[in-house]
Amino acid sequence: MADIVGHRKSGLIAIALLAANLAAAVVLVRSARAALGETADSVRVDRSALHGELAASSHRDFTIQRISTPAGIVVNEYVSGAGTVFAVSWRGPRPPDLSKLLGSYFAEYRDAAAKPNPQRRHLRIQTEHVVVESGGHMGDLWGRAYVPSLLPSGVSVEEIK
Amino acid sequence: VKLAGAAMVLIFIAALCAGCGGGGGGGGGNTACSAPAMGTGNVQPIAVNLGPVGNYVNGVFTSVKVCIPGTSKCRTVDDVLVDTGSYGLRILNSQLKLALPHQTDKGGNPVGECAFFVDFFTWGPVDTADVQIAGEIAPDVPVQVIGASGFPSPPSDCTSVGTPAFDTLAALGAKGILGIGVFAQDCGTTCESTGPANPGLYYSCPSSGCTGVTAEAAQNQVQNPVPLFPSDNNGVIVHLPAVGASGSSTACGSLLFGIGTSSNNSLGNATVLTADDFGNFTTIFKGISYSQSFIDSGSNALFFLDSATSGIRGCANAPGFYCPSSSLRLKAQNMGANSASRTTAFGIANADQLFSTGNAAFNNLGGTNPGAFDWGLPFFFGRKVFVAIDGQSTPGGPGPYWAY
Repeated sequence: MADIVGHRKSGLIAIALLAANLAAAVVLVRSARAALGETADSVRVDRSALHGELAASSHRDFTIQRISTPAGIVVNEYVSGAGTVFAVSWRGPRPPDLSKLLGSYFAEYRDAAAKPNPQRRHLRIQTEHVVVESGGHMGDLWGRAYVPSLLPSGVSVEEIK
Repeated sequence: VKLAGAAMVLIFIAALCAGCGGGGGGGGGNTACSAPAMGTGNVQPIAVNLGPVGNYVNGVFTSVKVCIPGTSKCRTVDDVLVDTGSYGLRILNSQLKLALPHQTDKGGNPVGECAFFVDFFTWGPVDTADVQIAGEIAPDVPVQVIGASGFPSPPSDCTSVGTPAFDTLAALGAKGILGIGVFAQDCGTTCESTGPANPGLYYSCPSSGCTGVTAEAAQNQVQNPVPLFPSDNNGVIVHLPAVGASGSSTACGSLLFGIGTSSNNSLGNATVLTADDFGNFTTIFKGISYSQSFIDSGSNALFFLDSATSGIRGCANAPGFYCPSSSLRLKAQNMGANSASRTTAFGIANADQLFSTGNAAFNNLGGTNPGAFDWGLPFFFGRKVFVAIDGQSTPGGPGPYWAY
């Protein structure tokens, strides 16, 4: 199964290919449940995929589920009182697997990020459904993503750190 | 170093340009420094212009000579971005046109790297080269060749971050990136480890396809070439002239090697701001501390905070940039881990108006960056910025630090 540091391609023989396809299918099913816009349950899926430690902290209008990986990547998932992940943030020596963390919003982000960007070394992507911002420099990269329509009332964007 | 007569003339012209650029002001249009020639000694000409694609606002470029190790088979590549926000030399294969030897891992397979920048990643083999900049020569330097033909495609661990692979001149806007920030290599000890503690930048890449993360010793990682110079190797100085409020079509300056190693690179009265383990310091703005701040010549604006926090409105045409109705004079305090601090004034003008000038060099271009200050290229105009490398001793104490 895929993980953040060691996705291994299978060998050449047919059985190995079949096994790889099955594994990929399992990952796809899990991705469909993962993170942004999904339920708090998906945080555990992300924790497992990232091989991370999980810690929770409660705030007035939301809970932060923090995943810390052995590679020094920290991911925060912001969960509303209704149990929906409305934002994620990250910081580390490299970006985490955003195809998992952004879930169904990933393709929208990836397509927008591929377009020419007059900002060099900062990224601010605003699509129809999601906002993704990232900054930093080599070895210390951070970012945040949120779904404006899912922000609980009373929560400001500045609280997503 | 043998120099042909023509090259000598070019250097003479570049030196003239560097001397006359200090006054700043409107568009100079001096083509003599649009493609800086190779310098001499520890002084390398650099130039701010729109770059080889003609669309790079606030990019600063220079030339780098790359040779097959121990031979005279070399290529001088111009339009290489000078980047204090990264570590190591990366050059587009399409511009290098030189078959450098691949570095191999313990299994004898070529090593590939995905190097993550904020807005893209670069993918390609780690090759070995002799690297010359001005009169300084670093032998056997691990460098990255971007977009190498015939090399396996990037692993899914690289593409799953969502940013694009920049492997063409059109995408990169430069022919390469010269990473000369405060660290000696682009990853450090974590990439030496095996298992989940390795962040996964280096891969074992037989021709059939990359098979997984490889533990990469620090000295084999892509290296900032400066510490590998025989002398003038403890850091660099980036020196650019001042520019006027509406920018300039070009700005010509110098990249000096060494800090306090020669008569031309003394620290003087610059304030030393010691960097933390990530290469960051603290910027204090309107009474609030932002501890993930840094200086980055590869960032093309002063990227800081957001409209809600800074009170500066965004642009109608240039998303992510600031567009105040009239130009702002602001100040912030930069404080190092050594508690030394320096108050710094900066200006922010309307980015839509700046872009409409068609100029390349702006000292007052600003944009958003929630939670931090990224002191990009605008910060460098009219300053000498000292970059001391981690673990190196200097008259201002050991690196890593920034000083200005």
